Amino acid sequence: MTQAVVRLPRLLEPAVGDVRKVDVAGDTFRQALDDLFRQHPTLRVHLLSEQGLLRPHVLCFHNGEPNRELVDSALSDGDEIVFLQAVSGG
Amino acid sequence: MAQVNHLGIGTEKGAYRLDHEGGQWSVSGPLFPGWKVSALSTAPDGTYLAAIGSNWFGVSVHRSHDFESWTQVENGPKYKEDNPLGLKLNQIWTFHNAGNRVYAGVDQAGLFYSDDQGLTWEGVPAINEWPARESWSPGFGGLAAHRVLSHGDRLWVGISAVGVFRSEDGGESFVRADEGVIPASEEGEPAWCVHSLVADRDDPNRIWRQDHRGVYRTTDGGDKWEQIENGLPASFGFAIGRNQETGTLFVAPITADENRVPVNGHFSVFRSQDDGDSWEEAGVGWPAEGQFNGALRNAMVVDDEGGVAIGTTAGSVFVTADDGDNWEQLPVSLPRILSVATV
Repeated sequence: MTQAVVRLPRLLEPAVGDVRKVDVAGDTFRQALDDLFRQHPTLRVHLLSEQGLLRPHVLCFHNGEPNRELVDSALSDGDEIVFLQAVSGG
Repeated sequence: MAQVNHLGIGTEKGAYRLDHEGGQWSVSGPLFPGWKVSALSTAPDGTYLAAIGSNWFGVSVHRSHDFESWTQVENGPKYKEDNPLGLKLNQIWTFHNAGNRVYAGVDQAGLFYSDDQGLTWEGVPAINEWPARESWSPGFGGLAAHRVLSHGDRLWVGISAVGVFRSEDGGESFVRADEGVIPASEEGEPAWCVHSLVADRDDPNRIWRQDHRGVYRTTDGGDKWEQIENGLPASFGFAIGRNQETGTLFVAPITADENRVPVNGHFSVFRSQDDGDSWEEAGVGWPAEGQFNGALRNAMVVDDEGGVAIGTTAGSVFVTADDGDNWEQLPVSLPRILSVATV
């Protein structure tokens, strides 16, 4: 199975402690997210809304390309998925 | 020793602990740095509970046995993905212990309960699926179930800006309980903007209410409310508390809804020692003037040993250990204070 990396911002420390990088397995983007939430179930409520969408002020990048819609696509070994809080507000 | 010698303070940016030992106050924290800590409590078995939220990452419940090391629960309060109204959990406003059960009141207005000390939570359909809730409107602070009272199978839930709901069957069904209170709105279904509630634990029919439209009490569990503002400099405010042993009531008046600062910049707590018949400024120790900040509904805690602690939107904390006769402003300046609890 394809191996990818998920990187998390420090602000999520209450959910995952000092974890900033999670090795995930999955042949597609959504499978990788499923593995992320399997390893760290406390993350789901912080990243996704009740309706399963990425929260409005959270950003997601797949290999540097924005993927706020969490569109599924094939993964390659070493792919990087990054979550960030948007720089918004004052 | 009053319980207020050990305080948990939830703020807009993290939680802090204040301890009074050896005649000195010390501050530690922040816990949950960068997160709003909207409610702090202690579950029936002594486990500490914290409700946190952020502007980006949603809301969660955390548990601790020492108030230092915290673990997020995996199955916190949550609306179902397919809930027909698209309800979202924006904030957890309050925890309330009822026997071995813990209730959580939330925004968007809803009620959840846990029977395992906050580990897992279930919704209360009679509130969360109230038939007319599509007509509910939020107050300035949101559409929030922010106060819960209980006595046996009886339950009261305060929702802004909707009103008070009372159950006689453990939350299976509710009736409205606002008669006598001036409505916040009379368009469509009347709406009441209850700000906070406190009950006599020995006689749950006696409840006091800080409302958007004044201070009220009921002696029949909410069937009828009467206004009780004799001696108050303003009827608006958020926090209300009561010492169960002495019966002393405490409120923190704010000038008006459109001007949410203390009257003439003089921040203080008012108390009543006659069940609300009359009010007077509580004791001494308040800054004379220049305090243009108020106290939010969760920012006051009253123990049963004469202790009261109140935090302000400017991050000040005032404490009394003698039922309000003498107050001390603690040597801290914290972020905007959302919640205060004894720990």
